[in-house]
Amino acid sequence: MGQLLVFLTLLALGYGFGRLAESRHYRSIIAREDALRSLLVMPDRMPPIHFQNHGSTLVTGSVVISVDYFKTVAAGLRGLFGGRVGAYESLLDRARREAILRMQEDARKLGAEAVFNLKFETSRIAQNAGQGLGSVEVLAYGTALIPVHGR
Amino acid sequence: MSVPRPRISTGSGLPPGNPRLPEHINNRNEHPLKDFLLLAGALLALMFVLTLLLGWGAQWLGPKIPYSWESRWFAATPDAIATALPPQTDNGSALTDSAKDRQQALQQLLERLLSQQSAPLKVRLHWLADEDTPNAFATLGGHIFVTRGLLTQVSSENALAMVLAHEYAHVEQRHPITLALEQLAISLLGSVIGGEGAASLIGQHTSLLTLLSFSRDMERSADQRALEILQRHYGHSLGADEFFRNMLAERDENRWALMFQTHPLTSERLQQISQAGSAAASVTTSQLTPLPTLLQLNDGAGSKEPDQITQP
Repeated sequence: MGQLLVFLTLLALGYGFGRLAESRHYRSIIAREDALRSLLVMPDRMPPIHFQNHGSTLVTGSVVISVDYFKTVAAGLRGLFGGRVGAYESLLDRARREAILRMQEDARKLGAEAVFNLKFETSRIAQNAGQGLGSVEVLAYGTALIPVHGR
Repeated sequence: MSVPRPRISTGSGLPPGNPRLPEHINNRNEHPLKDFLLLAGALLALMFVLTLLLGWGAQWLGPKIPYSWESRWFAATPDAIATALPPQTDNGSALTDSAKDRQQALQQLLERLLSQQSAPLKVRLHWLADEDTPNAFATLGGHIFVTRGLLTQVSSENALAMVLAHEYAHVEQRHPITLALEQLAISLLGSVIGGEGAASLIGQHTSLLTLLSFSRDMERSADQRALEILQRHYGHSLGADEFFRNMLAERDENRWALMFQTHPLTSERLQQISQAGSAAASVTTSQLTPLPTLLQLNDGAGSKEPDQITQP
């Protein structure tokens, strides 16, 4: 009985705080994406001729996210029945978009006009939740193209 | 697809900005509780149905397992019980002579009881000399344990015979093996659904309860069978209610609460027993058989001074 109570409390806390954080984060993501829309992020490896005289440098944006208890349980249920694990999808969607935004902010600080050759990397941060998915890092990186002044 | 394609600016061949991609592609953005409640409900329903099915399966299979197999598999049960109980005060696991004699007397009493039965099962009785809680229990492999506390509670052979016959009836009706099968099935189910953590949790809880958790139906049918055995042996079932009456009179809540929860309410049992006895209502207490001297630990008045009952 005690264990059930602890379980339900953790579940409720995970749900409440997780939901709050998620809706806040999405609002912030959408607003910042609008603000940074003009800073181009392209997947192409080779920038077009337009950028031939720009300087280039590596820009990165990294996010570490952790799963809340509710999401772990919900995903565990999905693990039994199969199907889309919606609980993790929203989490990783947020992480990828946040990583791009951080990379863009990095590029803007350097005065870049565009970021080319965008790549993602995702890695699990080891063993911090036993058997389950604990924390995941999403890294976005690319080549920032910065106009060279005084030419 | 209604994705707005960015306009290509003429000079550089580049879009003027990053596209605004539609939401809900990578994230379905459904209310998480809906999904969760649906799945959790399905899981609970599934577990409920499977538990029922496995329970029925155990009840069907338990009595079909040959008794000789059960005895062979669980020949080591008494040792396991002995180690689980608090350490013996002085003699370790070796029985003293008096304990051996008592054990034998109990065994003989049960054999006498069963002598009129057509094909009695071979059951072994064990005497727990250091256990003051009045209790008797049957467990896997046809082993019946009787505590010294029990003998301090009974005043006639009939009352003791009722307890022994009751425990024998459990073995005869294959209740321990049925329970063991049920628990095995449920812990398997737990390990499939909940992983190792849940399985070990269930395992811990069930292994301790194996001794007590006969269902009320099992207890009732064991009572019924025990009364038949008594009727057959003594010609009446008087005195059968004595032990339970004593327990009711000086109920030790802590120790007996659990027992009373799984045993049919004691007053209900008394009713059942006195109904069975009313057919032979004319029989008087003089027809009760006294206990064999070796098993007399109750000094009549029901007082339980330890120094009075620890005599060998």
